[in-house]
Amino acid sequence: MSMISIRDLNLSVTTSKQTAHILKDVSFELEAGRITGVAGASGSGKTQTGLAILGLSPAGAELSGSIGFDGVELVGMPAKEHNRLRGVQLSMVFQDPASAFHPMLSVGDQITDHLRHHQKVSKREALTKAIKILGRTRVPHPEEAVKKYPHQFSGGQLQRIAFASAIICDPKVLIADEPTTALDVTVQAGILRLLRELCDDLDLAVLLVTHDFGVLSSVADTIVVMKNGVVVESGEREAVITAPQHEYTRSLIESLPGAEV
Amino acid sequence: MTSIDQASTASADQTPTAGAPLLSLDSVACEYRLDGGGRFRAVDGVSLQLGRSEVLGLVGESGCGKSTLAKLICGLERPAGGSITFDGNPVRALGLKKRAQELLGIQMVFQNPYASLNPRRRIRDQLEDALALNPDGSWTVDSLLDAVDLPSDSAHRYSHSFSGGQRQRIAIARALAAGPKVLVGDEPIASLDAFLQARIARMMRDLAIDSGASMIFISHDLSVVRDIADRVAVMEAGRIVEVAPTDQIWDDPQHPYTKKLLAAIPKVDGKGIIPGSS
Repeated sequence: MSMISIRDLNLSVTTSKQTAHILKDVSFELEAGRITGVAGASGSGKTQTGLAILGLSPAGAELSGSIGFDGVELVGMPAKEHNRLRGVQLSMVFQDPASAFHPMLSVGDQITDHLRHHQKVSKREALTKAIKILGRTRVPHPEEAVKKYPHQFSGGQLQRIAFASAIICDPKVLIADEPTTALDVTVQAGILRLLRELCDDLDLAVLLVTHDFGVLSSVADTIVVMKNGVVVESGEREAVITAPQHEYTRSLIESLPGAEV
Repeated sequence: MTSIDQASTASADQTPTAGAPLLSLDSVACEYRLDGGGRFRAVDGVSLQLGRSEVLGLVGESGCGKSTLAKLICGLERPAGGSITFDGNPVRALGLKKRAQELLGIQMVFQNPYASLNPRRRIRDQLEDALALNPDGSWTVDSLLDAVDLPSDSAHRYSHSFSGGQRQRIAIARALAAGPKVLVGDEPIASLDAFLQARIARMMRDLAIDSGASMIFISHDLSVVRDIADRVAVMEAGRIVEVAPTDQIWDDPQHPYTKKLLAAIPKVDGKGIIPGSS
């Protein structure tokens, strides 16, 4: 069942001088329990697609088309209503865990902030839940971790905390924007395994934005390839990687170092 | 510092010959002071040689000491032991001094081009500064921009008007302008997307080799290093655990840590297998 249905999404940003069309007629679906990978070079609009779902498009942006979420239309939704969904049903994990956290607030405070805002639970209940969720994403010693500060963790552990923060309100949709780009390969494998697990166990609809075909090949179920704001190809993982139909997809895969062609 | 005294006496009776390595590290160590009095040995007894017109890849995980090693080679960090010799001259720590003339042959390309270029000076001025270090060189601002595939009207622009990949190419051009004999790239491609990474890495290799320089290319990405390096050194927790020709590292890794690194690279085969899980 499709959780998010994007239809003919257009995004243009007007700055003082000119109008840039960031997304042109983008259409694809996110399904519960499946990871949809969006690939493309820098500036292809893959991150903006994710931000549009969250209602975080930049100032001066004009959205048209449709993003259906569970029967609700997200395009043109008033900010106040979007605020009630974001962090609860729609959540996000960002690229650089070191800058995604506030350096002077404890981890426990940061990952329960939105839980307490949205669900009106007491501070103690929130912390208990945080400890449970941190255990779920396999952060070592969750009881102590909630009292620590971001600089006391490594990048991989912080990314696990970011995932904990993203799933603490039981979301339906998770947008992961380059979640492993800032990490080493050995740590990356662990985070990918976590993402796969969370997706399967919690029946999340995951949008995985990445430029790394190796990552897509490991965890994505379907792959969408974007170029300059246009979807050039989409399909099942194995088909897209082993038998790309579009010239651009082929060039991306061939440009990878050590690609066996 | 005793280490520097040792280094200078060692070099006094050692004249550069054609067969000698261009850059040689002899059991180099580096320590950082920790808050609360302890010391952390970031680089521990590293010995490496870099030949002429050779590309050496240096790989390892975050925190293994790769960048500290790069800083030691450039004299940006003071070694706690051992010696570094470049073309017969000992590499001294810079401190607040100007760099010695004979060490200008070591040039560095840093990880983050957003921070390594001066935002308030035009590209032309920044390249001319580097050209002034090497007045005998054949490069000009225009030929440098051409070599890194940037339009010649880039010269009068400022760094903010370039993308990450373009900025990194400017940083490469600036390092080349000084006529380096050793180009040190400290994760020069880490902030770029995968498709640009391979392209910039190959560009660095070609430019370095064509201008007769050697290169030390630091990366945590083994697959890029495989593409461009002649030899690869694998570093773990401050030590070099394996050095071998690139093909040998790739096809027949000896050290368990090298095997672990290789096994963690996700394969682009569309099979949906997460590396490390069987």
